Amino acid sequence: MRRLLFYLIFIALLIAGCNKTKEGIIPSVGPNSILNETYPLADDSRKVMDGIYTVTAGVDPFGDEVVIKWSRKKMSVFCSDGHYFVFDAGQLDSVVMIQGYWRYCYNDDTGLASAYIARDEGGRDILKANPHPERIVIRGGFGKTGSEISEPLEFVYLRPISPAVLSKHFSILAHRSGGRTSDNLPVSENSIAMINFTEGLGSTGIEIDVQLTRDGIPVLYHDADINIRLTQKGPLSGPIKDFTYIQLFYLVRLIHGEHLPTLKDALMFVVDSTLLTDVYIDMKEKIPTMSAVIPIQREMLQRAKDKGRELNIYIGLPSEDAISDFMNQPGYLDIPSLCELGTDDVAMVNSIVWAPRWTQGTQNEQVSLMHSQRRLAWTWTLDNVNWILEFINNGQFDGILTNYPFVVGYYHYIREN
Amino acid sequence: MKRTIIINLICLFAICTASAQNNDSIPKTRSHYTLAIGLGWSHYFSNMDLVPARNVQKDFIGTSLRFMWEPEYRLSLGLETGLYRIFRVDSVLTSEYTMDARMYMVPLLLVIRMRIVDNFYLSIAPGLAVQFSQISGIGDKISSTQYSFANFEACASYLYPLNKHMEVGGEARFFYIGKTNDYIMSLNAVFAVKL
Repeated sequence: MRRLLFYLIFIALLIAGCNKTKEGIIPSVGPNSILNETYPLADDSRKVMDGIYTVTAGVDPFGDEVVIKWSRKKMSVFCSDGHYFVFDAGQLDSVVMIQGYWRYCYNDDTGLASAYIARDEGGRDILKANPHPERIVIRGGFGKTGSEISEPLEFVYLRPISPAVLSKHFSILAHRSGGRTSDNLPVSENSIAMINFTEGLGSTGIEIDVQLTRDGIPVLYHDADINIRLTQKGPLSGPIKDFTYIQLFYLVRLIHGEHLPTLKDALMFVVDSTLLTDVYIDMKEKIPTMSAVIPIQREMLQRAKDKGRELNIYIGLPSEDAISDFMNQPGYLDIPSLCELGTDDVAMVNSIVWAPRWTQGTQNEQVSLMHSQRRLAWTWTLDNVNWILEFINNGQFDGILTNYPFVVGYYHYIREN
Repeated sequence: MKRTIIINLICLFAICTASAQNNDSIPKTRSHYTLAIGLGWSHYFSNMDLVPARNVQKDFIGTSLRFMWEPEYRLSLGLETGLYRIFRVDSVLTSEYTMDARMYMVPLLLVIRMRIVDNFYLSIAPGLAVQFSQISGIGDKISSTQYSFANFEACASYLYPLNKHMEVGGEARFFYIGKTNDYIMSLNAVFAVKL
């Protein structure tokens, strides 16, 4: 009997061990935020807040210095080690009110944060959009994981982001349309919601994964098949290419409830609703897909041009098969592309961007060669803090593809030149 | 030539030595093989986020087939397969579309079974599963196949010997399919033949 009990316990433990771990959740301020009573900040006012700040309270865990950078609608704070803040802000009686959350990218640590800039501590300069503020002090607090706001937080303005840095076209590209589902973000990877979300993480561009449905419609999805890692549990499972778009639309939801977007819808959102400047279309299929994707790329580039948007959309060429498919397209030499293979292949297909894997090193000679041919060089997919620092300080790349754009953002914007 | 003769002599000695032992002095093995067929009720524990549980048919007839090697010890090893319908989802999506989705599963498992007391066995079985999906009512009728490699089965069996060669009984089985995070259980009547 004791042996039987032992076996039953063993089996129960084995089954319990197969369960998914709990997902991290970013805390929400809730409906009673003070920001409901504030007025939006003008774009010029936001720019005044961009800069390098000294941390005078909250050094543990956020470090000595942080970078503050506004994106389209969020105020982001980048720290040196993978911590970051995403804030909303508004003004009330010359006081800038700030609320949001902080997060650490390498685990699920997160908490609420709230702060303000008093009228005499920068609030007035910000609202007047004074480009040379005398002093900005952001005072507030943050809550440790699972706790209410109780720890003091204070950032003091040190200097603006170097004009030399701002004038560079350095692309901070976020993986899988802006972030990975496995990093427990509140929206799903390769979704329009993620494209909307990612600018708050510091991205200036995105990489998206594209494959074809059974009826030849390019959709955004990373894995080869519909699975519970990326989608909610539903009646459909199997390879994406087995199903038509209408079936995927009605019967599949990404892990946070979004539809699988078509490439066209995703790019249209990028053009119409974001300030992103670069899109890297990563072709996941080995079968020919270029003829379905290139017309959409062309249409969206034209749409961006008509709107006066600065936007580059590159067709990714990750393999010999993709290059063969690409070279079968009429006028391929004029189609903006990104080649992940050697520099000879880049020249052969006239890619605008050369994108080697980061493990091949900084390759300064090759990057200089690309620059001499008026091409760009990006590297992928770089997530380690030390290597990001190495590539930014000692490399010459024009962009970095990463899962952690806030880390790249910190080391890029904090540069003096 | 000399080397060939020596090798042949060594082989001859080895064979003679091996044959010298009296067969009767070695206890005869009582190991045997068993083929068991099961048929019964299977139930799907629906954990679908997208479909209300009321739209999911969960109870079907399932079959199992086991081939076991049973030495004279408590542990025995074998292979198991079968055919289970996991679910059928029948629902109206919009005024334009309905959906009829079905999934079947054929497992292929390595069974490790232990006799706990006379006629009562517990087994665990890791292995792969082939999942077949069919969908109709929205767009073309489509069939799709996928493989799940991280699966696990736990089974309790009672087998009553009818005679020297045949057994009947029942088994309760719990099955986890890793790929789709599906769980099914089944209660089968079993008929086994010792080969």
